Amino acid sequence: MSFKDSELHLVAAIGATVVSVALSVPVVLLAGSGGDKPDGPPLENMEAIEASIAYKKAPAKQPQKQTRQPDPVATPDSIARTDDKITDAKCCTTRADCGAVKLAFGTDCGSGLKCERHQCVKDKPDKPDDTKDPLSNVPDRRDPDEQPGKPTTEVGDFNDNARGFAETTKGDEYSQQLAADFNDAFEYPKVLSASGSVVGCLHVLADGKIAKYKIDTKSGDDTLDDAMERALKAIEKLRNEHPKPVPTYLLKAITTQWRCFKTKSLEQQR
Amino acid sequence: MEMLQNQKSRAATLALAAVAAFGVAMSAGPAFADDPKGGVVIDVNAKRGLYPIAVPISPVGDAAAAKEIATVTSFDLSVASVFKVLDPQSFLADLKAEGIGIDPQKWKDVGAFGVVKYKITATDVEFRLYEVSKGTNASLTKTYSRKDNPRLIAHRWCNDVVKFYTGEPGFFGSKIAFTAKGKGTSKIYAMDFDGANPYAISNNSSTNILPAWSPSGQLAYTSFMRNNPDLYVTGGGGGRPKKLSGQRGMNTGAAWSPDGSKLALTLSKDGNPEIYIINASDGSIVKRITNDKSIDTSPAWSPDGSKLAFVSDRSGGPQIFVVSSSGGAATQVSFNGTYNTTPTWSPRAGAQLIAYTTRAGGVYDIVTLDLASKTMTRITQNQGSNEEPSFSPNGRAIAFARAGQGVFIANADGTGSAVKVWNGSATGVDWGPSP
Repeated sequence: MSFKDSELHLVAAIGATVVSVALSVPVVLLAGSGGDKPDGPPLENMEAIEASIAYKKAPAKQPQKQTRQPDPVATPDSIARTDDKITDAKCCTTRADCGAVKLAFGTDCGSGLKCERHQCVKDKPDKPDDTKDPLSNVPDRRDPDEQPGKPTTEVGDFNDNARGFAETTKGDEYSQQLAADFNDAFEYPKVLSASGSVVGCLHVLADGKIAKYKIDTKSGDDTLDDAMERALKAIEKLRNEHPKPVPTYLLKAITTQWRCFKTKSLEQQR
Repeated sequence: MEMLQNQKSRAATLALAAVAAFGVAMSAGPAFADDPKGGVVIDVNAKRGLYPIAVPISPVGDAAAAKEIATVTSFDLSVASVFKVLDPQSFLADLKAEGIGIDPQKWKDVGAFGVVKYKITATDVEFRLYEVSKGTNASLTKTYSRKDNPRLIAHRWCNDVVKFYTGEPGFFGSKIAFTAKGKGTSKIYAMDFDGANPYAISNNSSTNILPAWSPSGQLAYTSFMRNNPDLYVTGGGGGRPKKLSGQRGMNTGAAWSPDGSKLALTLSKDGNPEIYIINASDGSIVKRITNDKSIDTSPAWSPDGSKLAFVSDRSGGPQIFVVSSSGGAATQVSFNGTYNTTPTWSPRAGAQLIAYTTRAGGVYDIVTLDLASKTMTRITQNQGSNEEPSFSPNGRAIAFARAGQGVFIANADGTGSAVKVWNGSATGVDWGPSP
């Protein structure tokens, strides 16, 4: 099948008309519906939703490694600054003064300088600007990852070494809770005395339950060793009934090592 | 063919089960369940508490005696300021099967550190003390004749138990004397320290006050039976009193010296109440200790006999002062509040501990004062009006009178609660010597 030119034109014209009508009818209908009698609730009853105006985002950057500013060059106070103020230019202010130093009257220093003892000096001294950020002079830490404050690991502290010793207040917060539970559970009669120390240990699982306990070092005092065992057993019961899961970041430290408690010497309290 | 399919199906099921089991094992198992390699050690300060001890009633023998022995033993140990007596309802052990022995684990499971067992026969009572941590061998064994009553037997056993743990004698079986008011009279009474077996010491219709036990068990008290407040001495069981000091005016507030040879008391023979020391044998004056225009009363000896504490209003209100028992200048030691009276010195050797009555907010309470460290410890608080403390013979407990309620005993270190041992009118409490 083939068309002549005129037939092609006719078909094209009919098609264009059909497409135009198809596009314009909904527009007319929609325009009519928004006219005299609006559908839906009146404007004042409609919920207002605030929307912010869209803005163009700045192009995302990869985190930039901070480069450390060069250390400030230490300059001695006042002396160097005073030296900097003096220029080589000579000057005088009064006729008699100029005569005394054999300078032509009117030999001044120019803008920004003033005449002091026949020497041109900077008019305003370089005083520190008090309005600046008081921390601006604090030097940057050399290591951006370094934590502020005093070092936390002193010799013998709770440092996760195989046999480090620590106060109950030190160490990670999970071990502190464990130590607090232990302190609640452990009791030794004041009427007894024990010169030795007993070390009892717990193996904590990731879910916070106690896998096992052991007496690591006996004191030589049956009652003290027994008191330790009772305390460990009590914590085992408590933590198995109410487990406190180990935080993810402490998993390795807590679950792969024994958490041990060492009693101090217990003298009789009469 | 069908069989082959079934086998294939079973094999597939088994394989799936194995895979599932492996998966479950991998997922449910802890991330680090292997035995730990190293360890982290935390130093801990152990709490020091009372010694948990169990006193089960013996299930064999004389049931009434067995119950009384357990009751008296439990009470004695509970007020010894050393033990925490466990509730018998918590016991897990089969007492009949155990007999006079113990199954340590059963007692460990109820928190006992010590267990008291006894066996009553027709002639004896055999006691055993077990330390649970030491297994089935008794740490202390004693046998007492049943010639004595079960109460006395239990007191003796408890004294032995206290001695075993502390090295000190117990106070069980000792007596407490006090004054009880009647119609127009005041009588001196004595009773076992736990309130049992009370009996009258004075037997007159006059006013009798301020009993004081001697180290050997005699009682001195002030009586108005011959109109003047004179000092009398009688045996600890009562009987006809002997006048020891009949000076003109007051002969009151007597306190025996630790060796029993002298008494300190208040005499007002010269008009003003002053502290004197008299001979216990004949009442003759040994020395005048104070000489001040103020009122000086209520002397109390230090355990070594070198000092006397007393009450004086020389600084305004009544306060506690300490003076050498050979006389000299007195030093004020109480500074809390404006009213401090009735001092008593702890009998513990070397102790610098005084208990006294203090008034605050219109209420009287018992406090102790360590003269060395100046530490004050409250023995009573918000529990009525408490007066006239007296130490137990070993210094571990304090007896005192609570107005309108009776006589109480409490731990001298301020721990625990006071226990009522006498219900009724009582003042002027004094705790007697060791039995």
